[in-house]
Amino acid sequence: MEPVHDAQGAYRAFGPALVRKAERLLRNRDDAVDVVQAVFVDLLHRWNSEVDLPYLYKAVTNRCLNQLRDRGNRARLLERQGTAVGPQGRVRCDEQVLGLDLIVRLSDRLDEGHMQTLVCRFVDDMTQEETATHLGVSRKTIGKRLDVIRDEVRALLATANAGGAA
Amino acid sequence: MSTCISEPISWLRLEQHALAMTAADERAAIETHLAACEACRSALQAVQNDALVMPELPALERTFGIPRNGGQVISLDAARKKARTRRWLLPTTISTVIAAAAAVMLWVRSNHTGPRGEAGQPTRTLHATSHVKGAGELALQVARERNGNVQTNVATFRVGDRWKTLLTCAPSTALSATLWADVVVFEVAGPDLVPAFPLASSQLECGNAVALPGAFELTGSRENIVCVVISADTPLNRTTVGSALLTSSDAVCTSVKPE
Repeated sequence: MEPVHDAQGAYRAFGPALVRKAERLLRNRDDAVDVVQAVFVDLLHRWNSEVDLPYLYKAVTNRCLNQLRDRGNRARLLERQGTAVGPQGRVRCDEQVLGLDLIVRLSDRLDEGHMQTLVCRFVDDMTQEETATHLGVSRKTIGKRLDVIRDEVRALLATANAGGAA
Repeated sequence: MSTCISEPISWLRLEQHALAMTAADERAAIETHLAACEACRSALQAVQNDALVMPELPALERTFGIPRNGGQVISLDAARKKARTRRWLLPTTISTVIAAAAAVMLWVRSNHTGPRGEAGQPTRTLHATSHVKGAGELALQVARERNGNVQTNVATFRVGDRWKTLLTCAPSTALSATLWADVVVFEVAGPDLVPAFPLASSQLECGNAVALPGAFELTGSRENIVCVVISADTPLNRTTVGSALLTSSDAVCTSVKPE
């Protein structure tokens, strides 16, 4: 691949990969494209040679999480997800593929670091080692965060099951 | 979907692999895994088969000078409130301006269908373009920021949206005098329109879709009319402003309705 020297070049080269990444989380392509465009618009005037695909991946994750935390967006995204292809779920959390509705509920209970870890591990299918490198924290920290995430997933599912049984 | 035989190749690594960005040793490791793993092979195929063409990224020329934090957002509520602010970036290509101005004109025309509008209110003809003395042909656009997305060519608002006004006029025409621009917002609550002034007066700089300094919010459950008034030499005398402004040749206006 040709080296990328500016934001426009990176947008052309990495845009599709970033849209697919955002789409896995938001579950629809239109919103994914909007997110990726917003990331690049933000970067246009402060582009530097440090910006690479992993950096852009993190920027897209943050944008997507902001979208999910916004309650107005949330309802719209949940409504739209019915037509989207489901997650492939190569990495599962306690055999659970984390769908959009579950991720949205988790975003109410988990902080930024935990949500980034969740996305790396269960949406982007990174290993723990890769997640640690990607987020710039230790493997041990990632392990602890994943424990917390699993606990929260179990708690949410237990609540949902109890509600369904009642 | 089948299950990965061990730890999957992450989407990031698959994308890098598809873009030929991986080093030789990593490439070999990925290919070895792919040869044995249907799940990851299928994921890579999904990447390779996705013929997504990215829409053109807007050519940006102007960064609105709104600080990320601590900037003041002006609300049209009685009390001003502080709110989160963001840097705005907007496309300012001539084609965008022309398209938006045309859309605004069409929208205005389509809403001017009879002597009475919705709920018995008089229908108004708003001019989004006007020949303003001292400034020549002037066109107004409004830009809306919602959840970080900036759009022009919009005519609806929600609470929390942030708005800016963009003016287009020929750069050479504004040199003969100091021209001032004032944003005036009317909430359509009855036959008498009460003006609000969300922003300070500013000197007009002509160009393509030049943003006036500052951003504001629209509130209420009724139509708002956003106008920019141009005055020569001194800022607008706000005590004299009334609904007659809507038909003044010194003002350009557009209507925004609640969603």
